[in-house]
Amino acid sequence: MEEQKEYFRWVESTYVNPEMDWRKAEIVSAGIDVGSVSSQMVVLCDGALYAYSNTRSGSSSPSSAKNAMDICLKETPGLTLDKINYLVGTGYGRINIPFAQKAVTEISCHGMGANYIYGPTVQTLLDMGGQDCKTLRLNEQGKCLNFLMNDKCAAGTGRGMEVIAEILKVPVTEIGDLSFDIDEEPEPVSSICVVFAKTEATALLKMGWSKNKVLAAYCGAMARRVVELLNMLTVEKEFAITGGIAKNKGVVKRIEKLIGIEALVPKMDSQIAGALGAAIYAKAFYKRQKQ
Amino acid sequence: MKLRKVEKIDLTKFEQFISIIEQVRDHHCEARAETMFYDLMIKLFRDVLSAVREGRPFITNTMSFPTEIYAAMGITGLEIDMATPFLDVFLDCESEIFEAAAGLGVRTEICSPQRAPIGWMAKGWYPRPTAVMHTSMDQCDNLSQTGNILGALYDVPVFCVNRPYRFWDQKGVDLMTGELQDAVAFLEEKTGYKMDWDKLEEAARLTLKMMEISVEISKLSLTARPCPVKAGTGFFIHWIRMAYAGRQEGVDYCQAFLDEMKEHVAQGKGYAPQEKYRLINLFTFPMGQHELIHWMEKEVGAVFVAEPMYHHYNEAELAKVDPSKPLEALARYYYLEPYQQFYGPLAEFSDMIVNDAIDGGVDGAINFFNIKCRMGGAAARAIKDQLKEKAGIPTLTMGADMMDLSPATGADLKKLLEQFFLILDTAKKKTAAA
Amino acid sequence: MTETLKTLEEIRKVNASFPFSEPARKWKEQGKKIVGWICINVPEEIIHAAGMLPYRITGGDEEITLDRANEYLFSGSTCSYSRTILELQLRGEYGFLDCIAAATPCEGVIRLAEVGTHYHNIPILPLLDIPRKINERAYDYYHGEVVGLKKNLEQFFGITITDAALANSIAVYNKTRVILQKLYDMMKKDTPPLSGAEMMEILNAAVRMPREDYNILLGNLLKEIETTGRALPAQPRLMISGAVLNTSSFIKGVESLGVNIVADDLCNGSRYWWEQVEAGEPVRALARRHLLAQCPCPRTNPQHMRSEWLMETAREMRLDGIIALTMRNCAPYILNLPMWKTKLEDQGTPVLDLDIEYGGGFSGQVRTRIEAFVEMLSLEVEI
Repeated sequence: MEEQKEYFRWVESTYVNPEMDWRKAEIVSAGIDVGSVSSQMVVLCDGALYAYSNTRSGSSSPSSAKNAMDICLKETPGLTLDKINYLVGTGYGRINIPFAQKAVTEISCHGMGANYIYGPTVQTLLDMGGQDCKTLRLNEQGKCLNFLMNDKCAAGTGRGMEVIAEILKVPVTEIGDLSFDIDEEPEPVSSICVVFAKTEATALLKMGWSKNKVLAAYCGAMARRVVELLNMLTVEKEFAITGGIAKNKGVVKRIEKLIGIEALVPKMDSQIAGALGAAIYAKAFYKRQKQ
Repeated sequence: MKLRKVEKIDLTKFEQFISIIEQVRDHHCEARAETMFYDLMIKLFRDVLSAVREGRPFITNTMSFPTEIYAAMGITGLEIDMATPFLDVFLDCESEIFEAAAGLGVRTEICSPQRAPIGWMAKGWYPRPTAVMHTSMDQCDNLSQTGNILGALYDVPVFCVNRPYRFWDQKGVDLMTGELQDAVAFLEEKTGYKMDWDKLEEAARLTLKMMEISVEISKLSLTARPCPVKAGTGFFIHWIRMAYAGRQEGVDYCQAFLDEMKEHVAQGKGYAPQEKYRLINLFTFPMGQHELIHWMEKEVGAVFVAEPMYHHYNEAELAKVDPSKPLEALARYYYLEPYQQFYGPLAEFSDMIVNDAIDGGVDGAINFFNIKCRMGGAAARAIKDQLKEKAGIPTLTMGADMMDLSPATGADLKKLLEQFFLILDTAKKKTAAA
Repeated sequence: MTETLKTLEEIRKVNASFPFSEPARKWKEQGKKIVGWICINVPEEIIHAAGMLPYRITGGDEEITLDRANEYLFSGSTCSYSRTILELQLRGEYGFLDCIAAATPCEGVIRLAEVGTHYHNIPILPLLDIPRKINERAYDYYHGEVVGLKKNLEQFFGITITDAALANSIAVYNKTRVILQKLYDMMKKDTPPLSGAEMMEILNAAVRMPREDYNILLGNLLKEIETTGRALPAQPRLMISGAVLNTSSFIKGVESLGVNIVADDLCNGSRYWWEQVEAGEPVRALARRHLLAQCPCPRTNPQHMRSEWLMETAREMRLDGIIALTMRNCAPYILNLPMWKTKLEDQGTPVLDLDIEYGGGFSGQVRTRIEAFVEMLSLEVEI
């Protein structure tokens, strides 16, 4: 029997900074971002990145949070939950993380996380998450001044991409490169509603379109919808992207082309931005608590 | 996006549009009613560009402000929410325009002919007017308010004309007349031009003539077999009556429209090779769906013999008009213009529809049904039930949008129509068998 | 000090049975009549002077499914407020009304009245035509409409409404306005005596019971506040702006994020009770006050009146932010918002534009957005 390949799967990962010793830190703060598609944990030592995990979410928020934590702390020698001074939860499941001291929205956390990853010059942040897509206006401290969310449809979301990956039987991690391996950029599909995606994709393939061309059309359509959202808040440089789809060149490059601005290149996995921001807030809350 | 004054105006697209519709006029018209329509549109847009370039006053209004007033004052005017959808469709820039409007917070729930003007001004692609006039076109909520946004975008004065809900009583007419008096005073102040009251009386007479011709058009359209009206031209005559109200060109157009119909009647000719279904149209065709309309007329043989919102006049009320009291006449024209009534009391326009359906011997009704419309659109079910009960005909209600294709594409609409024609076939067989 | 006020418990009893409240039930048992009304431009005083109970038609404290209403009022374009009311009418829940007095404030309500009348059997009096622009001519016109309402009520019930009865009714309703203004002024404190959710419950009860009894309750409430010295903790001060909102549970949810809702720009809130009817010929005075109270509905022109009222209120109530609840398909609100949003932001009051459905709960997506907005306003930490 043919093995059922899961095209939506992407690689889970962990990271530990080998040069840091958490025991030497004054404040060990952590953040957990529980999303519908992925969950991350980030640990900071005195505000500097020490460790993180990037995992697939499970069926419940508490179990997703615990899983992300277990995987992260497995790599950190001797660091256990009780040694963490303060933990903030964020994301879709933020109010259901039993071991978090406080919950802060992913909007505030992404801003703070982006500020860490990209620096203080980021004014426009685009986060393309698992089930929603948002644009933030940030100041130099990473504070959110204004935001717009689209959680009504799959445009610019991980879920939307996963559906296409499954329909076309292409691993989601390869979509970006494949979408550029074409002769000519096609017109973006008119309806990128995932409900119709299967019908539309089948029709295009029947018309003789290659898989890559269909991917290009979908990435193009997604980019367009995302840019509509971006333009509602206007795009001010510098522009940066967080979230799973930040890794999808197919969508990112097309967005950059439409807005005429290149996104900053992250020096680490931008999918951790939410948990990172949560960990930064955790440190600040701990300090305030001690005063 | 913040609502700030638009500083830079760029009329490139506005100018481009004129060349495009010149091409359409020269290559894509079948009926004279179409060619003449485009001629008059070209003239209208050219006049606007001249006025703006020569520094003469230019007034823009949202739907249904009585443009006889411009004619009598020698002011150049343009109705922005009929112009901008046209501009969008021919320049193919709907998405940019809607995005600009969305950026200001004007959501997609607002009907596209009202988002388009906001988008055009937000982008600075529309000429800067001296002032914006608006009124609610009976009870449309959008039109009661969009004028304010337009005025704010270009930082120009705005004037609102109050409209009564019930319009056949003297109280309603008096309210409108008083409002139009104020509107004239406002225009005199802002443009520096004076109202010529003799010219206004003449303009009122010309509009009356247009309406009288339109009554004949309506009767002929309903009764002649085959139907002598080219699909889609109802919308044209409606726009010409509004844009050229009080002007000889308007009268000439209406007369030419009627004459062309009479020629077809004399020759026993319609525009459909074979007339299979006689239909009543309950709302504006979605713009840009030319292929669909073409398919209906030429391949299916579905003709629209009744378009009450473009052709149906209340003759008893028309008889009350006295052009020697021009402002009062204009107040009455407001309601006589059938399109207005679709945005007013339900009983009024459902009666118009039912009567036309019966007089036209219609097989079925099509409601292109602008899904964003809270007046015409919201009443779709009630109208459908009235038509069934009083005229015995089925109605196809299609969720479309006047210019935004995202709710329903041409292909989607075509499927629905095909199914509806099958229903009409079945109904015909039943009647034949009975 | 935030114990439940005893008067509030009384008020909750009034709201508990919806839409047929206990006071309304008792009223009907005495063989008396109830006239439902939609839209604050309808002068309740006239209904009251006729000896009937004026009863506002609204939705309740939860979102309901609108399957029946959706068949008659297209859901893609008609607001959920109109459809909720139609749904309740179709279900027979407003069957206790003897008739309805409605007006033409906006398309949603107009079509609700005109379409609804074919499908439910509550008689509707001829609609009051409300001008969309305010000037002296509009006041005269509206006076004619209110005279018409009086005549129509008299005809429908076979009674006469006297000037003396009108003067009395005006006094009764003005009393409410005076007390509500006092309560509202108390919300200016850093530590307001009432939460926004409680204010909403208080406002909901106003239109579901005899006004004389309500005034007594309000008087008791004031006394109780004064004697207990009730004070909520000082928190960021927000205003809720929107069309109509009756769900106190929604406001409670917002306030649970650590804010005080100290002001409102709602049809059933300050727009309802602000400004008294002045002395003078009663019908004319009623028409004047009911055509335009100080804080106009978004449908009103010229629109600068609204922008100015909102900017003034933001300063007076020392607002930290405004939540603009944009009900889907409410064109007057959607198109009015851009006219004041930028001005308020420039003045230093951030505005959250949130799209909702009438009766919608406080959960999930709505919660995240409001929470993020509150964080924007108040999450100041030294990083």
